[in-house]
Order: sequence, then C-alpha cells, then structure tokens
Amino acid sequence: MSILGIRFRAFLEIGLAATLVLSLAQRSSAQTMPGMSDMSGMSMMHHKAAAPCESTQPLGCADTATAAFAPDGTLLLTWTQDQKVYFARSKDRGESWTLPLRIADITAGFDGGGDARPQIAADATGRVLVAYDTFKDQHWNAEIWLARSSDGGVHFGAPSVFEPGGVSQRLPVLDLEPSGKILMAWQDKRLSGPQQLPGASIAYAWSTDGGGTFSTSAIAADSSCECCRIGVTNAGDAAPILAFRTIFPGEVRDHVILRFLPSGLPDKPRRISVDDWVTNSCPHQGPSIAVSGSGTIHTVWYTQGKARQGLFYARSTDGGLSFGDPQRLGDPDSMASRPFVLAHGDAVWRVWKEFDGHASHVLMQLSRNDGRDWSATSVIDSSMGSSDHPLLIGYLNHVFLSWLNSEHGYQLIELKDPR
Amino acid sequence: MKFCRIGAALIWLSVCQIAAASGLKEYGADDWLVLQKAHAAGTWIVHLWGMSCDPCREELPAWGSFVRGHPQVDVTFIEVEQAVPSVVEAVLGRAGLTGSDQWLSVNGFDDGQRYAIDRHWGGELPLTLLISPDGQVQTLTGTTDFRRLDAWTRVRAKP
Repeated sequence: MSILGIRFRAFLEIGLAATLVLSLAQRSSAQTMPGMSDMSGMSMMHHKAAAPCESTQPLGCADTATAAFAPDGTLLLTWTQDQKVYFARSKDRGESWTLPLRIADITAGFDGGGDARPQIAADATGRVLVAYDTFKDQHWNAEIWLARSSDGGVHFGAPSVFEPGGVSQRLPVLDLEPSGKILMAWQDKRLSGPQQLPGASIAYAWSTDGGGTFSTSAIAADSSCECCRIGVTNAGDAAPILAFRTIFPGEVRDHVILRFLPSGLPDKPRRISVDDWVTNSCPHQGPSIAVSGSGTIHTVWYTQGKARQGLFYARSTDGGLSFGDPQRLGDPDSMASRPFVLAHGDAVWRVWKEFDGHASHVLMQLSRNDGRDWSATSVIDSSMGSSDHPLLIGYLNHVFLSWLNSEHGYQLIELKDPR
Repeated sequence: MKFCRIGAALIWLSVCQIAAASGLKEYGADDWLVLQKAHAAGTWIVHLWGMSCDPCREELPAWGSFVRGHPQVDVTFIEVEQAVPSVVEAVLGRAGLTGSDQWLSVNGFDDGQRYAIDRHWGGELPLTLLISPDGQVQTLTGTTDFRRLDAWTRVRAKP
C-alpha cells in the first residue's frame, strides 16, 4: 500500500496540495479589465498559465474585434477572447459600453486563423446578426454560427448553426443592403472538399428578415483561397460586390471582384491585377473593397507575386471591367500588412499596418477626388505588443478607424482630413 | 512529516513542469533569440505552421518522415495560431513528430515576432526557414519540396 515509501493517503494529499498550489498560481496571474467587469477572472488565456495576457486595457486581451454602426448610430462591437465570442454596445462612440454579453463559449474548434473574426449586421428595425465560424470535426471542416437579437443587441438568442450537417463553411462576411436585405458570403468546400482540390469556393445566401432565415445557399464562384477573408461592400446600385483571392490555373492566387446582380444572382468574377503569386500556402490576408459615390471601385490587397510584392491599391471606373495599374501602399521593409479601404462620396480612405521593429502603426492616406490623388501618409495610432487588423467603419459623414491592440485596448478614432 | 509532504509536493510540481517542457513548449516574445542562440553554428530548419491551414496539416506526416530520415538535422516546429495544446500534440503525434522540437505560440504571432523571423513575412503558412551554419537563411513559402530539402541537407552535411 505504499508508493515510493509514501502511504497512499499521503500521496493523495501531496497531489491535492500540488494541484492547489498550481491553481492559485494560475489565478494570481489572471488580469481583470477595467470597464468590462463581467469578464473579470476570465481574461487569462485558457491554456496559458505560464504567460497570461498582461494588458489591463479594456479588451486588451481580446484577439479580434469587429465594429459596426447600427442605423440609429449605436456602435456595436463583437470580439473574441479566451475562445469566446462577446458583444457590447456604445451610445457615445466607444466612450462607455454596456456590459459584455457572452454570445458563445467555443470549448472546442475555435478558429484562430489570421483572417477569422466574428461579423455584425444591424438593420433599422433593431435586428442584429452576429456570424462566426468554428471547426466542427477532426478533419477541420468548419461551420457557421448565427446569433440573433431583435432588440438592438440588448439580448441574443442562443447561436445556431447556419446549415447543420453541411460541408465545410468558413470565414463568413455580412452585407446589409439599403433595402434591409442581408447577404452572407463565405468560404465553402462543397466543390473542393469531395475532390480534395486546393482552396474553396465562394458561397452565399440571402436573408430578407434581418438574418432570421436565409435562402438555400449557392455557389457564387467556384474557386477561392480558403483562408483569406472576403471583402464586401455595396456597389453604386446598392447590390453587394465582393473582392477575394481566387486560385487561377497553376496555383496562382490573385484577386478578383464579383458583383451581385439586381436579381440577387452573382455575376462572373473579374480579375483585379495579374500579380502571379504561385503558391499553395495560406496567405491569411484577404483584400478589402469600397465603392465611392461615382461608382468607382477601390480595392487594396496583399501579394507576394512574381509581378509585385507587398500591399497594393487599384481602382476601376468602368464597374470592374478593368482596373488601373496597381499602386504600392506602405513600406514592404516595415511589414506593411492588413490594408483596408472605405469610401464616402468622392472621399476614399485607405489604412494599413506597419511595424518598425518596436511598435505597430496604423497609417492612413486620404483621396478627396475618388482615388486619383492621395494625401501624404499619416500615422493614426501606434501600439506596442499584439494588435488586430485595422478596420474602417462609417456613420453618416464620419469615418472611423476601429483597431484593437494590447497596449491601449479597443480604439475607435475618427479620421480627420489631414489638410 | 508535513514538511516532507510539502517538499514532495514541490518535487511533484517540478517533475510536472519538466515533463511539460519536454513536449510541446510555449513560444513567447523572446523565444526566437533563445532558439537562434541554441542553434547557432549548426544546420537548422524551422517550420512555421498553423492549425487552421489545410496544407500545413496535410504535409505534417511528410515532415515526420523527413525528421526520422534525418536525425542529424535540427528541425523546430512552431504552431503560430494559439491552438489548443492537446490538439496540437495529437496532430503532431499522428504525423510521427511526437519527440520533435515543437513549440506553440502563447499569444499568437504578433508583428514583432514575425519581424524577428522575417520582416517580409506577411503571415502566409506554411513557412520554412533553411538556416545554414554560416547564418544564411533560405525562406520557403508553401508546402515543402522534400527532395530539395534533402539535397540542401546533404550539401551541408558534407565536411
């Protein structure tokens, strides 16, 4: 009845004591987040007892944050932290927030891909839709989850799987048309999966009831790079238009746009540029797209192609039939990454991130004439430590940078004309 | 007797920590410098991969074969997406990489960590670094051509 000369009861006591010591050590290293009291005690990364997040800023320990303005001007925010999905609202553009709602606790299958993040759409009737994906099996097939609110985000129902039992569906994006219709598009493996082909397809579905129900899903484009986000905005005719990285013959992973027609059906993809990036890697860095008041299409993207490497911008003044020569964005020696573009009237903003060896910076340029000329580059915000992608959101005539970083937490910064 | 038990508990903890350190290790902000120092003046291959990356997972068994066939080469595997440790260990184990030098990103790969490894790395995966004893680095993006890797290794194995 002895193990290494110690009686069994003593052995149990030693084990319990060791477990208690380890547990207390882990608890003492957890951080709380001012302004987000509902999350106290939960900010320690679930598997990181040895090196917990040390940020004390609101959401400073979150992974990704996505913001959108509801039609009444309420700022809506969804974010991931500790493999959970949260939601909060702000009536004063981020100065104060409601207590976070925990929308989902993803105990297994959290999607930690570089372009994975929850998405939001909110209509004028108070319906709010949050979409995110998780991995659902040992073959790393994903499924899309939807959480719905009918009271502006005060309460959410339990999330449900968009198409249970379906093929792998990942990286959803949402687009709200002025009419109130919602388009959801995502990376879908119904074509590539069974044939074990590289990449995925772009699939879509429409909702006419604020995300309560969706049409049967369909394929918009046969081929896409499965790990890159899809860019989406509304074109001049209010129909959605996508930008995504596709796979051309020869494993060339370059970018295209795809318009949705007034009928709701997709047009054929049109190439943005011939970068000639031959790779079977996962770039984890998808494009962004905006359409200005004149109908000009503005796109930004990342490539390591034979023709060019780094971040680039191009615009189309003929509805996407052709694009101008790509213009370089940022300094490739400073890790220029994560470009994003937003347009309002004739004004176009483009932002991206750079790293100087010490801190990450969000840089911005503004065009006041539909992308023909651009302002000098200005630094909007900087952060030490980890940081999320810089995103742009608009409300009325105001444009904001939405950026999460570990040094300052969540930041909403109105962009001013640098002139 | 209680002191003995407390001492035994501390020993237990130390054993647990050592056991954890011998398998999947946590990769933090300063670990690239530590790894570089540990592998200075030797032939060293670093393979960065992510759990959400299909080509990454699919080629891991080939990496298992390569490691078994080249025991003289130091190969380090770093998962960059903060995946669940038990899942990472299981995937590496199925690929025959249980005893390999394997690391898991603690807080995700931030800009500084990518900059330290390759300032032109945009985050695409898999990424493989072939580091010669003289410090020269070849960067391979995408899945690996193992014949090329074998040739690279053989050249550097010559006296």
